[in-house]
Amino acid sequence: MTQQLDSAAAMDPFGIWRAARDANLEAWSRLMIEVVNSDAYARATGAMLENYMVTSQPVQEVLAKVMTSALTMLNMPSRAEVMTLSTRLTHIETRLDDLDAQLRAITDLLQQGLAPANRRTKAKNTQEAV
Amino acid sequence: MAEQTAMWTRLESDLRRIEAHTATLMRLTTTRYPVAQTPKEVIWTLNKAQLYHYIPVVPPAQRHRVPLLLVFALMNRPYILDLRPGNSFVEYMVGQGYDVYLLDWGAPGPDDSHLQIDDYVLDYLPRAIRKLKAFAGVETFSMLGWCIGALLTTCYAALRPDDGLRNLILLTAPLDFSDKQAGGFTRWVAEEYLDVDKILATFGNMPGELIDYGAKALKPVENYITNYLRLFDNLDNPRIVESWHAMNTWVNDLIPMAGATYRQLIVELYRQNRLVAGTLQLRGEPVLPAHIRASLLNVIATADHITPPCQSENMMPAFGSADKELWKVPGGHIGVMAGSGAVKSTWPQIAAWLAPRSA
Repeated sequence: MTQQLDSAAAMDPFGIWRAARDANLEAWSRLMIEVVNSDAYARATGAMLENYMVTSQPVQEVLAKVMTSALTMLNMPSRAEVMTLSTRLTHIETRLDDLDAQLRAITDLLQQGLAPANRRTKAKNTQEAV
Repeated sequence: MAEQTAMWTRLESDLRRIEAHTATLMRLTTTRYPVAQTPKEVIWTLNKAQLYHYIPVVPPAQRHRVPLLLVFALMNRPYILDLRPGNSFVEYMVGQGYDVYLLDWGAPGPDDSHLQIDDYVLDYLPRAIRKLKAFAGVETFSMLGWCIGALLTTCYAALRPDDGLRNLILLTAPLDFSDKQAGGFTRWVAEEYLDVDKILATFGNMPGELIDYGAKALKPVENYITNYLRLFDNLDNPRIVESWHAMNTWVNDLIPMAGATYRQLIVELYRQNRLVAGTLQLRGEPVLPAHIRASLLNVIATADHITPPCQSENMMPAFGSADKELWKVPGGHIGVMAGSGAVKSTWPQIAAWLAPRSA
């Protein structure tokens, strides 16, 4: 039985691969962490990003112009117009938030002012009832 | 003959297993885990930000009097604090009798690219706190900030020490960038390698995908290989599979960072280290950690590769709080609070520290 299991394990290619993998993965991880923490890696990724931006930025600008013209012709709001609207909505929301807080402060003050008056009325009513 | 039958039976069972594993992998890679299940209500909104109040489960008499506000980073979803039932810090703290609130910054759109740290600290945060106090009917509160959320709460605590903040818990807080050799980020964002203005001119906001790449590339083998191998090895274990699914849902739920905030973070903090130098100003007000008066707990993850421990630890003498503690917890940047061991170590420690200070 044991022999059968051993032969099955020996024939399991995943088992062999897994054992090799686990043995090497930690060392590989340490090596890669050293690589990404180097100045050379920082320089290389910086250069790659720079290249991407240099090539994509002009394309994006052209696309944005074409899209704005197309939307204007279709009588649709452009991205910039939607953004302006969104900013205005946020301003309104901010004002409402302030008004809400002020209203609450006034309500609290009124309640504080009314509380002694209510207590006086209650005491008077009790006296009259007695 | 018997040997042949056994071989066929084994082959059939192997094929069934492969079929089940394929179905599991398909489910994990094409669906979202139902995260953030702790019952809550939205009590305040502004622009994309929302303030949640979690429905208490403990009778009022047994609850702590000081509410707790959770503030997560700007570039990931805050539901990492409420990942899944049984592995949710929010659920745990609600169960411990805390009145818990969470500030969700939301995902900034192109119209938010102008938002700065100033706006988050001096506009959004005070407004959310004002609402929290009115809703809870209290004047004092505790605040827990994680990652960039810890940076924002530190700035707030330094600028508004009289606003009722009683306890401040910082988790993996990136505050001190003196050590330019500490961690990959510090090196990558150096002026000679990264043109922040060009990135923001191209994208407006810092894309979530780029931030995600940066975070994962700090530990490439773990994030791009070991993570998947661990899943592959444990496809028969539902507990590990579900945990992986929830975490994978969060990791891939990317949001950008407002352009102006990203510029400040890189230029004024990572490069110029203004908070430590005492030259950081938000809307003209100097941010001085010495002004913080709230009781302070600074939690550091010893194996944190995103916020290396020195970026938090070195700040301890600078905090003005009379009651301050530093905890070093084994674990990584996210694992320290959302890992499977957090429920037995980090969370009870935080709850125990907070309890006597929340009476």
